[in-house]
Amino acid sequence: MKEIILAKYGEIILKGGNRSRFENILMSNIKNALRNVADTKLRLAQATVYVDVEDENKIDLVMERLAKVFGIVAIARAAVCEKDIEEIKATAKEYLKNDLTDGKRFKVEAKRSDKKFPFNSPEICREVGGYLDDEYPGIIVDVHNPDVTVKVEVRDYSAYVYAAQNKIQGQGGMPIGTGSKATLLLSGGIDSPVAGHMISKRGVEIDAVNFFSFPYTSERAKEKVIGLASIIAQYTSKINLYIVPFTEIQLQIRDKCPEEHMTLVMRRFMMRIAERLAMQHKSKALITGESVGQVASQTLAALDVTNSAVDMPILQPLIGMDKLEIINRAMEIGTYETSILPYEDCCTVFTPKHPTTNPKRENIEKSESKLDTEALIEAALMNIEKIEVYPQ
Amino acid sequence: MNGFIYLDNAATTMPSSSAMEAMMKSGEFFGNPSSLHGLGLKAEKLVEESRYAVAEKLNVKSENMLFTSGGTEANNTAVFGVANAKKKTGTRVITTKIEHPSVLQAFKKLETDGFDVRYIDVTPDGIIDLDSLYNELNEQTTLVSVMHVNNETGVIQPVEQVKEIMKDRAPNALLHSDCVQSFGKIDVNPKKMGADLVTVSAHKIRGCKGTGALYVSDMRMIRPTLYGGEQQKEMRPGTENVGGILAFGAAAKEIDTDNSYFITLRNTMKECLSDVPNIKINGSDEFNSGSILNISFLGIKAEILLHALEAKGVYVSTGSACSSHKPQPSPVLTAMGCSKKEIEGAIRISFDRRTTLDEIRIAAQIIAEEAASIRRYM
Repeated sequence: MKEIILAKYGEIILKGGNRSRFENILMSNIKNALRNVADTKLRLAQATVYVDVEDENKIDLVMERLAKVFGIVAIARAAVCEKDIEEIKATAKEYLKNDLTDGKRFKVEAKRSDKKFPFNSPEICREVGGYLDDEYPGIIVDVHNPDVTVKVEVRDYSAYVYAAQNKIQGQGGMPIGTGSKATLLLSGGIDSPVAGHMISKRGVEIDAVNFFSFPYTSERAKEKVIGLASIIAQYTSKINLYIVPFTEIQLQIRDKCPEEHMTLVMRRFMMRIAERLAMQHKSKALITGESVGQVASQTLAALDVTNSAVDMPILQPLIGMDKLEIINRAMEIGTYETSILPYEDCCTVFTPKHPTTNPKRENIEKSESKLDTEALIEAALMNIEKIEVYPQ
Repeated sequence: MNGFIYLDNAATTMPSSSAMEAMMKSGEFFGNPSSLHGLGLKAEKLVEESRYAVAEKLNVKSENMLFTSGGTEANNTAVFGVANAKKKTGTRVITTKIEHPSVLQAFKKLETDGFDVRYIDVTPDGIIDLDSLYNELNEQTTLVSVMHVNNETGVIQPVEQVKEIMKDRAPNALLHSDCVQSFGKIDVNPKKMGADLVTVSAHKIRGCKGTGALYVSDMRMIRPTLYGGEQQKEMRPGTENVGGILAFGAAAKEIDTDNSYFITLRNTMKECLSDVPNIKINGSDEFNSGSILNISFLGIKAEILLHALEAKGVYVSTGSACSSHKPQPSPVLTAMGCSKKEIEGAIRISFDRRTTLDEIRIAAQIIAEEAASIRRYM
């Protein structure tokens, strides 16, 4: 029996005049996601992408990948058959034999987009439902609380049969590339990868920037950041990661600024460097993983001081989330296990004992004025390492 | 291979060219040593030659040597092998607080299996406390495991005296000694030490990773930990790692038991660093193999120093993993009563016979400079 994958997309259909452009982007993203996975033929019709996998042993793997493509809301594997009511019945019986076991309650839902098909939807339901009820004496019709919903779709070329329960959820969101580009400040922690995932889910392409303080943080910490980027890349297909040498800036801050201002001055440098990079690479916004009040540098006053260092919009998708909610998201998207590896900011050299929680712009700016900000930023930008990160 | 100075030889050594050649030989004589045909026989002969070479350096018979997958397996085999075989005669087993994790964790496991486990303290110099050993030994004791040279400090343990005390207090107990760090540095002679079981490892003596050996004075004393084949008298079944074993044999042939050059290297490093303020040498100078110098830079986090040195081409290691998520202070330095600062700032510098005095001087200068520059910021 021939099987095919039906990938259904959601929000795109609301896009009116832009719909076909969005669909083209989605198709190309799917192609990219499956390129090294399996040979497939893709066809798009009626808010569904039909993915025909040549090697049927790879269907599960392909579904797994599709479950990470933004824009797709649900994925089902279905049996394909001729548009003939007897064929459909026989296919449903054979294909769903492991679902329609004794004692199961079931119903049939049909959709007919080919209006030339001689049976309308309620008639298909009746025909197929009656047939299955006869063939499997142990099952019970129940249209209100079914265990198994048999889906029959009669479309342009073929008919498709599957059980709704076997559908898997997609990511939802919008296809990457429909929403220009933003630059993610990616640390080795739990929050920033989640922030990156959330914004890219809205169709935004992501560049990532990481600040590297060798020898205060190690090569392994860098490997960890690359690992995180490559997990995010499973959803976005590729990420350009920019590693910024940050040691000199931190040492200068440590030398010349009051200890309680260290963190905020450092963060302002990070924002400025990220903004410059974003402009160079045509990003339209910065993304950070802040959540109000999580740490001293994330009070509203601190956020004001940090954010005022740049003009670009700053997207902070985690801003109202609790740590536990963020951790749950990180587990869902698969970054958590990497984030908790112990290499990140291993040594707390640059963390003040009593950071200020209610800073004022003027005071921080005054501390900052002791540094040659421009020269330090220029020097850091000169020595950036670019890494093209692909999915793991 | 120029351009860096490798001072992490207690972690692993660079394989010697004769070890690599021997390893390659296993590609030519690729037969399974258990096969009946000539190709198998040739491989078997080469394995036995290696067994002989390693045994000879320990002054024991080759029939008492088991090849293993490394020091960890050899230590596990010794600890579990003896403890489980002698469970009926007694359940007290004794080790020290400064053993390698492959011994220490095995004893921890015995604890959960219902054994009566005792861990012997060490003096501030890093030498085990023989008085407390004397007190813990009793008639029910079946196993004592004491390492020969400590892997973090280089301190030589009084294994021979341990055996003397055992004769008095627990004559039926067996003595195991983890000699991974002493083999190839100082004389390792199980009979002289009075050790019934001895662990050695290939990659610490310029062999290859993945091969070790356990000396067992009488195979009937232990129970195997693996089952499933007739290899090595069924005490350690499994097709032999022929390449690794041949490399082990070749490397063993080249070892030396005179440690005076190690002492010179260690003393030179110490002298060159003596002007650095706020340092502390950890572990006895008097009883030292010379192959390891453990030194604390107070007020510095060792991992930062390690990475700074790495950037300058000098490779050392830290005794403890410094991490904000899983702080694991070195159990060895902790047992020696070192302060938190001493432990956090401790690096381990470990030498090879080919390390030159020039390398020591250059490395010492780099260490002093990097320590000073990090201190500015901490």
